[in-house]
Amino acid sequence: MLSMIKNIIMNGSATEKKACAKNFMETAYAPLLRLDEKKCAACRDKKCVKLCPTGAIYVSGEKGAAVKADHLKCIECRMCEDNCQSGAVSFADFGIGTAEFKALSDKLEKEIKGVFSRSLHIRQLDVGSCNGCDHEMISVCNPVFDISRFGIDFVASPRHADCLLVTGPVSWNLKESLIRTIEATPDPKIIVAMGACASSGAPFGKSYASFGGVDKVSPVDVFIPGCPPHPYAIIEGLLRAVRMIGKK
Amino acid sequence: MNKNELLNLYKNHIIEVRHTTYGETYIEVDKNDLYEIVTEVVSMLNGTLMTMVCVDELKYSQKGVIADKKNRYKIYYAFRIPGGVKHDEISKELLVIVTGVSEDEPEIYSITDICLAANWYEREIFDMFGIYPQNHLDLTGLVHHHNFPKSVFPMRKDFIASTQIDAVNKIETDHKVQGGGTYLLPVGPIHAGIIEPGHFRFSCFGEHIINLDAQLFYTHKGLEKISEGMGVLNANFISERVCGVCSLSHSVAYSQAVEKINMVEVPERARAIRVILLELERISGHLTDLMGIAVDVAYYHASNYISRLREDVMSAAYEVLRSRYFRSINMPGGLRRDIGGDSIKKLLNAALKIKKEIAVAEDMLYNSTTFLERVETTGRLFTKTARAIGVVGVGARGSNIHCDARKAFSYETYGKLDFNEILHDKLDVYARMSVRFGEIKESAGIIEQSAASLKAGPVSVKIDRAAPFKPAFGITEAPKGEHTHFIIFDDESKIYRYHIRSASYANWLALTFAVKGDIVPDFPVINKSFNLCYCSCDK
Repeated sequence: MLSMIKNIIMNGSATEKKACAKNFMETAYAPLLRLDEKKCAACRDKKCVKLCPTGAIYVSGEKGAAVKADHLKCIECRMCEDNCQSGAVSFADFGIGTAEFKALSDKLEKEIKGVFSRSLHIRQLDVGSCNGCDHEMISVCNPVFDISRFGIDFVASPRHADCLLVTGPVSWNLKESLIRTIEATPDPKIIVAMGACASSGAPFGKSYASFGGVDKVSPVDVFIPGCPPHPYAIIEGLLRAVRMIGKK
Repeated sequence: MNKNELLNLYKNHIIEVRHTTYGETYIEVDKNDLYEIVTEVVSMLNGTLMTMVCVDELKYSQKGVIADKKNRYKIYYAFRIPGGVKHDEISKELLVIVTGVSEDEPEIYSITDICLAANWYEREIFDMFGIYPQNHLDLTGLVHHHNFPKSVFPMRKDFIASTQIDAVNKIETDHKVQGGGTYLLPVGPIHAGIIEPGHFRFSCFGEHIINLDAQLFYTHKGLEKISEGMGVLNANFISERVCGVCSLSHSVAYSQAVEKINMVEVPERARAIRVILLELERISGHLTDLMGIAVDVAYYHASNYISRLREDVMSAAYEVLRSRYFRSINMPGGLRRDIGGDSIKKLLNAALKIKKEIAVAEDMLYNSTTFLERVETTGRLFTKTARAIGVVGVGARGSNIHCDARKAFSYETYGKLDFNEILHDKLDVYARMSVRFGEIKESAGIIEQSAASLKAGPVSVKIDRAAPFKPAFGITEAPKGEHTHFIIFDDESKIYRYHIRSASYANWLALTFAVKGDIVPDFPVINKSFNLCYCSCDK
């Protein structure tokens, strides 16, 4: 017991020492994959399009048209970034600056208090993910990110939840469970699709065993891109979710 | 008896023997001789079943020869047999027995009675290819659940991956447990907490578990089927997403198989960096499990401490690789980009910091009597059982069995590194926990050695095309245990067959033995101690 107290004093607080991305927060979809259309040279070989395994970067319309990006399909393989000569593709970086995160966390805390009178209860639901997203959810609860300081908590039953955080492309064997879990969650509820495969099915796609995204089976309120999303991206996504339920 | 004596003894029964340069021996036998030869391999050569793969050769057209209907399916039985230079219990080599199965009579003789590890493989092959194993002990659906149509076999080549399947209206068979004071406790598939889905039926007597029936494969998303037809690079991204926490191990296993097929020698620097990253992944994985064990006995002080250590590894990885899960760095042929000296130093410092601070976590866990009360003698897996069902990884080492692919197959640069294989003879959760603590320290040592001997040089060789219709296995030791990937490419360098056998797949059966006699509340901690993951098992 004494050694425990000693440890607590010695280690101090680990929370929020690390930083968050500049310009990352507060954009409509918080895109992870960013395509600077002004920089894009519209080169002939279009390596980024050819090498993208999920079709997240594509050419819309006729020949010679500009390259477009669908960040929900992006699995962060960074093939486009590595092979773009003009440097038009970049990814959100979570390594610099602390002020943004502080501002975000204050905002999140305030809004959660306003909407839910201090709490947002989340039920995690894995419908076929690779468990990367699930482990990031565990990371979000660790002392460094510590999501419970915002009043957000993970609960055991969908009947206690305001929000369903769904990961995975909806496997054939779990479709029934997903529908029944959604039914068991009381209204008003928010359904958040977390990660690339829950948002768009990429890279697993639509097959005999997978439906290719949560939105194919049930309406989704908020998408969190990333494969898996960085813990800060999850927090940002939850902020969007909270705003949503405020309007509901 | 050794391998050559066996081959000599059965030379009249063996159709073809093929030795490969990468230490895999393939022997083709007739379906009727299979049972006898497998018996010899298991009893005389001390072979353990590593994996079983079925390949449908319907569209197999090497040099214009289309496989005949008599041998439409090929089943590969891969055994680890003692081998290598030292020829001791630790070094292993691969002996693959291949047998053909005809289209008209899709049946094989089950080997489950001589090799219990074949249980799941045969059930999977029955579900996916419709090849019926005669005399199998328990042939209930493994991958497909009760509502999946019985006549659909997704891995056959004439089945199109995007086919929509309608559920059949069939009621699940009723499981019963009879006798005074006994009851059935169903749990899942959706659990309380941040866990993956799986359905468990506990047969209990009072609080004690007398039997556990696990229904898995809820997260089955057909990875093997959808990867067919993919190119060398794209399938690498699928292999990274078999399991989140073992992303790199799966990717390296896949890459190894591709490199073996093409007989490519990966540059020394790439192999050394792979080892550094693999060991960091092991540290991160083991810390996750130790954290889970602490959470499952409600010891939050320790779990928070360990999760902070884990965050140190992950943020170091993020800083260097821009991925917290070691993704998008490895590819067949080496690494996608070089990692500079400063970055290596950052990773090394993270590992050394863990090595230093893990002592505090050890102190927290080993000196708490209430914690020890929960983990000691809990979930014992006896050596004999573990050997019979082919347990791998920490599960095997905690049951005092030599099973470490790093030592057994010495891939990458592991042959040159000095490290110990940690074994424990207590067989319980405590033993598996101690193995993890030991391995974290060993891993930090390995990273230190690799970083010290790192030489400059190229980090990749180009692989554009892959040799057609040549099977190869890629084997890595992940935090969860030994992962095995099996690949065949077609003549357009697209994947013809990709089979993934993760460590969890081999270890799930062990859980049902380990929980017997323990109480229901101990189930989560036993589960965690084996580090069983659902997604890489279900594929």
